[in-house]
Amino acid sequence: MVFINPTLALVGLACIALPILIHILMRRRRRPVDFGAMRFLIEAYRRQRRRMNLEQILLLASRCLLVALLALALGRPLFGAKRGLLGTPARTVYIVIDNSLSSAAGDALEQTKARALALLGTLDSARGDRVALFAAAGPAETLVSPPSGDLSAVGELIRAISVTDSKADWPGAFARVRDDLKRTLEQEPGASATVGVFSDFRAGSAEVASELPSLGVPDDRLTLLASPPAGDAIDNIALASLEPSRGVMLAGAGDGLTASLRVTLKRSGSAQAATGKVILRAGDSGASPGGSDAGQRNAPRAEATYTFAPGATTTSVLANLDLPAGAVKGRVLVTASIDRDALERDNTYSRTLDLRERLRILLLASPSDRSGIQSYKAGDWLALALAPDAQAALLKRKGEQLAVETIDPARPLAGVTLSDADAVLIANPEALPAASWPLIKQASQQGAFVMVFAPAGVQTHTWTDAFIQNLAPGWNVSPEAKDYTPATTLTPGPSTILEAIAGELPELLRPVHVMRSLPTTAPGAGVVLALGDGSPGVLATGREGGSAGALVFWAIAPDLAWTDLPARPLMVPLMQELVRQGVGLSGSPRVALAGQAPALPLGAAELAPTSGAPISIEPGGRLSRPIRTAGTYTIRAKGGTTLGQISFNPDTRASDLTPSAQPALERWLGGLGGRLAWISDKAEAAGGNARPANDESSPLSFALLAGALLLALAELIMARFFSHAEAASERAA
Amino acid sequence: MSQTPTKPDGRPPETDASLFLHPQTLARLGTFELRAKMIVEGFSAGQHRSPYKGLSVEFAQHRPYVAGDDLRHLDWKVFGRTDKLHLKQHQQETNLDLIVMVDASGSMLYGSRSFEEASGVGVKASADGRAHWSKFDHATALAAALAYITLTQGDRVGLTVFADEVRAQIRRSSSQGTWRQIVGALSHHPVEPANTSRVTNLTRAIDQTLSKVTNRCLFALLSDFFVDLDDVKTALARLKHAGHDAVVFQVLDQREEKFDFTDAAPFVGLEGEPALRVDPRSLRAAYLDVFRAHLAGVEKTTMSMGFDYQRLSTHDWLGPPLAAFVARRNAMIKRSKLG
Repeated sequence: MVFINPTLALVGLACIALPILIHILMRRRRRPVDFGAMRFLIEAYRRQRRRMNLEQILLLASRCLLVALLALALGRPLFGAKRGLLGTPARTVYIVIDNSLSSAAGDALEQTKARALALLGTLDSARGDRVALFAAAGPAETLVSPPSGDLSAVGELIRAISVTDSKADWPGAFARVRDDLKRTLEQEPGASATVGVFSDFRAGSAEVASELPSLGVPDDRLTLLASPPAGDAIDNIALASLEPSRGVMLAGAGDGLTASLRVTLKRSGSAQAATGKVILRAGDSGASPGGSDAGQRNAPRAEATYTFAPGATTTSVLANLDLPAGAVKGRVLVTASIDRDALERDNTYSRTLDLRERLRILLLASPSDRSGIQSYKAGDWLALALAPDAQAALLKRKGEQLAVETIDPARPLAGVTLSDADAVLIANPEALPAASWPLIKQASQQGAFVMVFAPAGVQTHTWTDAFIQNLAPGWNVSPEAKDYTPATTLTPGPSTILEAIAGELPELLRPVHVMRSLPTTAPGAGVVLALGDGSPGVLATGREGGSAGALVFWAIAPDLAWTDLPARPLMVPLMQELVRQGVGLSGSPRVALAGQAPALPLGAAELAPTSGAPISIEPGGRLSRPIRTAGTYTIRAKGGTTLGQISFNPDTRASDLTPSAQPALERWLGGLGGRLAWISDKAEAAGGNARPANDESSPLSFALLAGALLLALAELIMARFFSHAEAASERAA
Repeated sequence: MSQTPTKPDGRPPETDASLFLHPQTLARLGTFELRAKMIVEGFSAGQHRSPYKGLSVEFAQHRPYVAGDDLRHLDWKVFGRTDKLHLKQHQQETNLDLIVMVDASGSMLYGSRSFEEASGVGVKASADGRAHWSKFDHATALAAALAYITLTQGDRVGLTVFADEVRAQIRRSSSQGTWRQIVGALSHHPVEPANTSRVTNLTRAIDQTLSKVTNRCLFALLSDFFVDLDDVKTALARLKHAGHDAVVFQVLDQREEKFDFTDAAPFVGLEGEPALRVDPRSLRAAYLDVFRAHLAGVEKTTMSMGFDYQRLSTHDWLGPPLAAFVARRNAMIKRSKLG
């Protein structure tokens, strides 16, 4: 049994104490009365004691029961799940409402909610009908569970559901329904249930090609009600990503900067050629002064024209956004937007650009004499590639964008400040003491980019164990080098880390030869450069293995005994690009999708929105509440230190507004089990006229009230009979 | 000249008698006495055989013969002298002794009638400060009236006030001061609150009284008889055995008879009974059953002994009991003359 007004019921039940209190108080407050014929009174009492006690108990019990009945009636009780008062079976309905990004097309969500409310209107709380409510926007959310008899409150919750920017999480929503159903079936074996799925089932929401898990209820006891799928095709263009050519931009000292940004767009619906404009704006993200209104009006702005080829569903466009000198320190929030279309929410995309004056690079390389080019060691080649000529007047003027600090790896690293190093390059890993590896691992977890080179001049590479253990779990690096005779060549691999020089890379790779490498297998890592036999020469990982910093591993030592790369023109751009992109990939993430759990750097404690309460990050990286709508958040460490900024953008996987075919949907929803029925428009119209859900009543209340009335009458008669029985006895006398 | 003894408050004990014989009571008493006289005389005139026949020694008067008169009572000497038939009448002469026994136990203190209304002379409280007219007040009023009637007939009257035993006693006498002594004794022996726990012991009181009585007497027992029926039976049997006659006056309060309480209050007994917290309405029927059974028992016991039984309520006037008394007294006189 459930109560519509449980508080009233509780208060009323507490009032049962009142008759007892009155009974006790009335006994205390009487003045004694002298009486002459006491012996007869005592004798009468002795004869009647049992009857009088019984009468007293009966009266008190009836008064308490009267209060209890009134309390229950006020609480408006509803019968449990099995049967209503009138004997008709009570219904348990699980309503799943799609409020994902695709439901923002037109008034799709409002229609969906109206259909759900219409279904709710057919229920009767008096009969014991109960409703559970789930929102499908990823991650799926339980709004009402276990099923409640308070239909009006459920109706209010349905009305309050709003559109999100995330993709529908149908498996998650149905898993919640299944868990709830399982509990219900455990409590009431043999019960039947109805699951109402309310969505317009566009392609961005319903992945009809996927399989839905069964709800675990026999088909004859599960009714699946689904709202009709949308039939009209709607054209929609969405901004899928906004990627700078470099993750970290180096502005140098006092100069402006042109940010090169690639905007990717997706479309659904029309397959004809289409063009449009992308507008880029750079907003102040709070790291630099000048965030006034005037500053906003004069904010940097750029436009680019995109073109969809006929039949194409994606396209990208490059745009250059000039950032003036005053606005280029720290972080800049860049927002791309396109013209309004059917789905407005996916027409903007934001990300934060990290703007830096210089990068601090630690190069762990054994010292050399540098007496001549033939005596150059790996560290020398790398230092040369990163700062081609430290004394060059040209670079000097522009400022040292890469500040390279060479450290002897044999030295203990404990005294070296690793925490603010942007990149750690290990040219001689064999020289690192065992204690240094965990420190490098820690720096990597805190966001430093690590590049490890196979060392030359080592017969057996025993250092690989410490490397694999600390930085590359799961990898397999052979301790012995493999010779290539004749020398092999390098070819670009599938990794995108060298995308900025991808055009020139084949040409620059042609003169490079490799004579020796460490055979390496690295599951999950991307091959940057591959050897002629297909084995990896250079490998890169993103944020694998819990590491926040990217890792690039060279199976080839930058030594002339292994390869002639150091002496080739590719060496400088390759190293520069790897370091800059590696640093860009490291550190905290800049973008995430609404509804998805972002990969956050180690030590992140909370995400602070521009306004509103911050979201704390639980141990394990889980957010205290999921972020389902787009917005930019500042990542803060425990002490309040800002670790970075992250922009949650609409999940454009949900932007596909192509209608789904009904047979395909039937097959897809069939995976849940049960009998599928589509909610017809006629039913919807009837539902629209259905009485409002808050007009519910409890016939049990009336029954209880009637019972209380009868009891009051009985109490009156009993009290009168018990107290005035002398009338009868007088007549008898 | 002897000085009348005074009570501590300065009032002579007779003043209390004014309460017992206040105009209402006296009026009733006077009327009743006259009526009784008329009844007796009318009765004797209507009878062919005078109740005084053969037993009187003192001549009273002559009266003309009427048809039906006993010829034995004709005064032949008068007939010889005057040739008229006259009957010779004699003054009645009895030796009737009345002993009034008044119960002064705790239960007699109870009364629901206000003293002011009962007294009728604007006195708001009794001499001992009670604002209600108790059964004891009623009994003493009746006792005083009985004594007064008896004394006016020239008979001897004695008084016993008892509770658990005899508390006060006045020897039988027909002297002029007896009535005052009786009234004084009744006034001096109210039911004191300190004695409220005193339980009636009728048998003992009668035994103690009988020990001082040798000739046949008429006993007027004034009590509520809130004692065991066996006790009543034993006490009355003693009287019967000793050859005495008795009139039993059961003095009750209207509230005891009706038990019309409505509030559930703790009831406290006047003879040391434990307090009882009950709803009187729910217990009324059972109480009335028990109470009426007891009354019936007392009446039946009394009648079975050949005594008269008269029930009186504190709310009733004293006429009926007095009438009963006089009737009984006359019957006794008749029996004694016949015997």
